Amino acid sequence: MRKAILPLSLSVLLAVILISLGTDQVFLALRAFFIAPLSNPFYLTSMISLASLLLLSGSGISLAFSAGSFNLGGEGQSYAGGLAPAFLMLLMGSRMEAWMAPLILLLGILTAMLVSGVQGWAAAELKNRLSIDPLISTFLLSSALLPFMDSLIIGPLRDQESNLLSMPRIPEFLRLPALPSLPRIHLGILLSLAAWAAVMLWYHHSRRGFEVKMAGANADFARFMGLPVGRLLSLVMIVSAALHGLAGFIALVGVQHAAVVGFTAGIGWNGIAVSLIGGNRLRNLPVSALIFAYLITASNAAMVFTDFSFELSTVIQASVFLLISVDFAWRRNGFALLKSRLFPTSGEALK
Amino acid sequence: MNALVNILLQTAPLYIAALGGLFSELAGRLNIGLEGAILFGAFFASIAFRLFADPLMGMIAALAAAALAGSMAGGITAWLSISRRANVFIVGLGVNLLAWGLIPLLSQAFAGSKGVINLGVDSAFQDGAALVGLFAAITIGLGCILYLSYHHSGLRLRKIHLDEYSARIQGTDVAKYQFRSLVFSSTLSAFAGGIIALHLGSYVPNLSAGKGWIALVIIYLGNRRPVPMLIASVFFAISQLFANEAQRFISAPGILIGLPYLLTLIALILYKLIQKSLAERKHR
Repeated sequence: MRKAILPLSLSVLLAVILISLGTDQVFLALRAFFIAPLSNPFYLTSMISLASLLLLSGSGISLAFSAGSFNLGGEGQSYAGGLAPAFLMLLMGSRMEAWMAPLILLLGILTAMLVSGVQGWAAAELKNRLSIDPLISTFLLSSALLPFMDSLIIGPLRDQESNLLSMPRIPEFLRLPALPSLPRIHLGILLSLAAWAAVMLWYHHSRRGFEVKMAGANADFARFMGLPVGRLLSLVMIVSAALHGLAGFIALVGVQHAAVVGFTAGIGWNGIAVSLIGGNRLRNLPVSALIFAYLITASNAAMVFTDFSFELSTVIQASVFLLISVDFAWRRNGFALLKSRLFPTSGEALK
Repeated sequence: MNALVNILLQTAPLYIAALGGLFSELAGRLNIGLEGAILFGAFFASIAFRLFADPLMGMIAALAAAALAGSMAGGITAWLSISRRANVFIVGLGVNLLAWGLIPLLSQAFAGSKGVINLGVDSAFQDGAALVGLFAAITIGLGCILYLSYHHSGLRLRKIHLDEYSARIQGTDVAKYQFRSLVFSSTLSAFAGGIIALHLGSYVPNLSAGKGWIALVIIYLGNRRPVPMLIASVFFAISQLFANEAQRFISAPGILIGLPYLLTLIALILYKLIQKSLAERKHR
């Protein structure tokens, strides 16, 4: 986590430079960037709500990393995780009644995790059976599914009475309960924390979790010890994708209340950034999710004051990606180089 | 005849980008930032083209600007991942995201719009640009074949792919090859992006439409050899043309935007299945 301080500082510096170039009201824009997410109730609650979604997708990415794999299909997985329950609710239509809400929500969660989990399972099977890297397969599958799902929302499933490109809004009794004065502080936040805690417990305190850790650290050794490395990869990829699906479901019933085009708003890619900031360690993710949610919310707040619009949060995300795994040990390297030049044999002889 | 020409013209940029990716794959540092490099190349080619009144000069400047932008993107990727030991996949994703985030900003600054940048050229120019792309693809393809088959440094690059450790022991400066390969891969991809923009007669946001990822798959389908990679490129060019044509006949054309990705995945699966069954037959 400490390794992330310098890359994050450089990313914030880049954001400040870009904001300053884009506006005459530099002071107001920078004030909005640094202060608004923490002082304005709307931005603050949006940030917490976003962080809860990023905690889930970040956990999914961290798990995949821990098994020595990549999951670049988070966008498609979270989108499917929101769209499938929305479709289910549309099918049930007027047959749904308020007393059924807990059951329908539970069914929604299961559907979300199933449709996204299948994507993770498919990627793992392609790796196990045909050696197709999940790095490629998850991305291709997600990119193929996303336009298809968008077409469903815009086309046959669209709410004809709405001006938005959206499916019909879900009934009020199916929306996750929220604080009366702060609608963005909803039950989904607790649900995310519970899911993260469950994954933490499973990964760090169960036998299967230990096996996953071992297979991720050294697959050949794990195979030699008799562990079913392929099955463990399948398990991890299913859980990773299902966590994205759950994030998509919470985005639907907790935040948007309708499957609007692009309703997951980059949960998948942002989850990768969150995982990297947290050093791919599950225990760091609540903090890294909050930090990244702050950066996104701050960017949105500052963009109000800039003269031209662009995806500042994407630029910040990119700079985090570019810098997070860089070895910044300039001085140490420089010193080691100097030492090796001055005393060419001292270190080598010991080796 | 017209369809055949169209296929060849579509094949050229894909093949050029894939050849670039091949070098990074052979050096053992697969560059997944090709998508971003294509976008940077297309954008800077469009900006450079608009600086010249003469279309020919504009085309030369555009392709040079595209290659330069690509070499910058590749230089960043190589410096971070080789010199500063960052994860090459994460850096590649960062370059892709940087292209998505930065180009709208630069576009507003240089062209006054974050949408389409029209180059104001006629169809004859567009066809000419496509032919230049085809000629470039043939030249670069032949150059790659000769380099990887006969030139000592090309042979060393292939040796790094076979066994990086042995190559290091034999005195090959592996890091130097990896650095240059990453720069070259992004340069070629950005050059391909420049050709796409000139052929279209405009820069369109998300003009790459997954071509960088498809190029990566072409490397595997072509078994990391330039000639089979050409066949794979033709296959994807046909699939893209098919998707473009099919959009005219269905009511929800958006569905087909994902078709190239789906076909890419299916092609990869089929290739691996065939490869597996051939290997099993050989064992028997």
